[in-house]
Amino acid sequence: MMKYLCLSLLLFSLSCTTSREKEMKLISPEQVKLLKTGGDGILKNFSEHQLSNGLRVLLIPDSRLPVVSYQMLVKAGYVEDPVGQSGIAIMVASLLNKGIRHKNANQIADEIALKGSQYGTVTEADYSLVYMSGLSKYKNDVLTLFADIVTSPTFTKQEMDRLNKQLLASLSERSDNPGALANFAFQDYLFGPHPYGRSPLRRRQELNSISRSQLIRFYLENYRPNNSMLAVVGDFGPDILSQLESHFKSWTQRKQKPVTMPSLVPIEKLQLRLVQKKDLTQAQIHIGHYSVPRNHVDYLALRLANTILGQGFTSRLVDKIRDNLGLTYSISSNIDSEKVAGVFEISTFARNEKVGEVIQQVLKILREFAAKGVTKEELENAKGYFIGSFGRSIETPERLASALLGLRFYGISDSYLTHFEEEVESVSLSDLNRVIRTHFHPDKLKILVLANESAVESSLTQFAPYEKIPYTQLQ
Amino acid sequence: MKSPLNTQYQNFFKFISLKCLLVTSIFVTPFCGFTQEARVRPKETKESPEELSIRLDVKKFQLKNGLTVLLHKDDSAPLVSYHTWYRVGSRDEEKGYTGMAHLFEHMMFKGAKRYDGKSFDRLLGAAGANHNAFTTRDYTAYYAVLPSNKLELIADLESDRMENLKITAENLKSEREVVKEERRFRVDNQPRGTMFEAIYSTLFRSSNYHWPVIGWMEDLDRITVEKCKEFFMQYYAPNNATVVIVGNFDISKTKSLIQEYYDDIPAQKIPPRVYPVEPDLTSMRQRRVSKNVQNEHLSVSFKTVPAGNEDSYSLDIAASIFGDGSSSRLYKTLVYQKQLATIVDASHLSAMGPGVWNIYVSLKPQASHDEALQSVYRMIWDLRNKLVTPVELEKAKNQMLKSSLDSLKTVNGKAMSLAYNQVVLGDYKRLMTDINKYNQVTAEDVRRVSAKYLNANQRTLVVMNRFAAPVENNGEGQ
Repeated sequence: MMKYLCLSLLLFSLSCTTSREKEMKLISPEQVKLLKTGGDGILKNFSEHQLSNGLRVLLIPDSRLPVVSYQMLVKAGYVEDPVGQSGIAIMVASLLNKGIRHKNANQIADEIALKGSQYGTVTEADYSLVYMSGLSKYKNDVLTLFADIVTSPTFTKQEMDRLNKQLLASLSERSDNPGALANFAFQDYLFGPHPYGRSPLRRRQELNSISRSQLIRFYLENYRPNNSMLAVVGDFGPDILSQLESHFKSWTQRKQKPVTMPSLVPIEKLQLRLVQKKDLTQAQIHIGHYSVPRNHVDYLALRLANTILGQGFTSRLVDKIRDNLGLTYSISSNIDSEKVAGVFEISTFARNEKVGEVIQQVLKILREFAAKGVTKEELENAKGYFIGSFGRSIETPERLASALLGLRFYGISDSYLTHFEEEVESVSLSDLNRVIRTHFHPDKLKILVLANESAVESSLTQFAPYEKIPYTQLQ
Repeated sequence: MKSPLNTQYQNFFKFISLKCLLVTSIFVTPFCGFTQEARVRPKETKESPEELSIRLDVKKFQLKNGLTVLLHKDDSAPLVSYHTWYRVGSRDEEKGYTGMAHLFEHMMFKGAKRYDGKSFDRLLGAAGANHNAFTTRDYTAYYAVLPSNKLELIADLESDRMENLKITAENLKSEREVVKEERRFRVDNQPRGTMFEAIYSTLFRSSNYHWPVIGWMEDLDRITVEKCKEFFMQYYAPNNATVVIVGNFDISKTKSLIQEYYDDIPAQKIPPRVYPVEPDLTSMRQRRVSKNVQNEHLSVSFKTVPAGNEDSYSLDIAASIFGDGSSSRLYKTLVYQKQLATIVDASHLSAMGPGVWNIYVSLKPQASHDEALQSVYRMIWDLRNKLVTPVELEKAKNQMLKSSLDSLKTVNGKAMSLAYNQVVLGDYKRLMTDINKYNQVTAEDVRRVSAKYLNANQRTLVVMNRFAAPVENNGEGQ
């Protein structure tokens, strides 16, 4: 989900004609507060409002295709799960469409399909997102259903039990998929007991300890208009604000407790964990450490640096490890930043006998990168990539809406979008190399290998003493 | 902090095989299009799918060397999507050299005459391009989405590698290892990848669809520089290629640009395509694959008709009603009521040759195969013998309409749809003419095609059983 928001980096004016002025006249000013109207350029069709219940609404009209979509971001991520009970946030999000007033799960599924709709939820560390789209000829029905799903889910015992069994099975499925298992294992290893180490789903026993009343309490505490933001995009028609006002009027505010997070346990040296799974003929490898939160002043420069290190075909990691040495099919490095911290992570896979060589090469590249920084030419190419890909990242109004939701969630100004090119251009080589020295730590990181132990054991001891766990401990 | 929408990671792959191959055939149904202003609107008078009017303004021309070119102007964003599709896929390979088309696709990124491989990637990267390629059983597609002021750059790069690709032993050696790693990742260590390889190799015995696009592991070692050069001369010719450009550009200037870069590339004699015909099954086929999995899988498949065949529209609708999404029969029965499965899906996977009507079930741990299978068979019987309801039919049509519209949201989606219709169906105009074929499908059509193609003695059953010891799937002969 992070990528979904971060990816939508940049700007352009999409040539859709709108009637925002007309919309505004239909709403009485005391009902809906106008927070912002877009200016020139990329935000010209965008406007932002606040309903009388406090819900912030972002509107981007676009009538080129007869479709409409809703994205509701709720500050109810898995960091809100109580210790030892991971799964509440994702269960709540997953149960929203499994029963509302007068409609059961199958009736809702039928109606969504009949209106040509798509529906889904995503639960991330800091928030959950509910998404629904449909054909605009059914826009009233789609909005009614969407509003009911968000504001009046029933959380029946029967649906909760059904979901519980489904999630238990999906934990087994994760173990059958080496990529997914390694992703989870690395996050668990990196953050340890910190809430960011939780993942939406952790282990069976945690899932089984969750009660229905906890789900309802979680919903009532977090799914509130003053804790959410809604983006509406597409061919939604001129009276959308009054419709939203009436559909969400029964949804009331509740005072929110501030989220408090423990501090991160520092990583003092190179640490290594092997997760054993016997049948694998290919090892999954993750290498990384903590990184900056999304609103950090160095975030943009850090992403430029990371692009040079491991994003795309010309990055240092791909050039050496895939193109020159043929050791893997895929290697990349990522900076994934959330509200209070981020992750820097290199991920790849290789056949068992090459695991030692891959780790050696990655560490060598990373050490050189951190010590010597990058060249002027590399920086110019990375800037070109950022600026050139900006148009694509906001090509559709939906992508733009996601970007705007993300900026508001992390407390970042819209100038990140409107002045993206200048911001990128202003990063100097010395800035970038300072950022690299400050934020990359090649000797204080964690390495996770998921593999058949007997095939990789001898190649791992050269890096650090390693701890090993069977993969069954991760489900 | 992992995301299903982690597009940066997805873009990283130079090859989109099985999984995306499936997505492609669903994503780019011939059921989509746009008007001159790239608008798709129902007529104001009546809100019904039958009224949908779609027009499309495409400039099509052919160069003297046989290169087919489609241009569609869309100025909604300062972007251009540039696709080059070659009509060559894994079905054009020789036995013993399977995986050739896909390995060759990797070689296309290793440099030509004007630009070497490193500068190819560097120039596109610095332009902010999203560029990649994918190989299917029928065709190989290369694409880039980039700022529209870089149109000449991509024309230069693409024409260079069409005419002057450099194939070296050193590059082949490292790329072969990359592809083997890709195979271990996508097939050997992924239950779903292993399953789809087994499904195709069991359902097709005579047809070249028998082997996987990525090839058998042992065949990859047989591919030589000479074989690559021969393959390049035979198939990477302008008269075997279609270039599709969608975005913000001037049509007549772009036509001149294409002529400038491609006119001098000589046509080649393309060998006649004679593909072995897959006879209809006369009795059910079964295959069991053992793997160390906790969740077992099963699949029931049927051979159907090529894409664009009159029956294909009804088969698509039948698959949607049967197993697309949580409102489908399969989901309601196996996931919701019986709680035997975690993921279910039915889809009609179309191709230039015979299609595959596939049911896929991921079972819960300890769930009974037999119970799930008997349920699936009963539901197939219903589809063959009883009419689907009017609501089910309308639902399927609306779902198809919506996913088609969604595929037209971006310049790249539009270019992909045009290329698919031109290359696979033979005419990009199918975008417009085919749209009503779905709307004309009746409940009786669904029953008729189900009765015709989904017979008990024509089905292929593939099951993945849990087995504690590691088992390698080496493909052919199993």
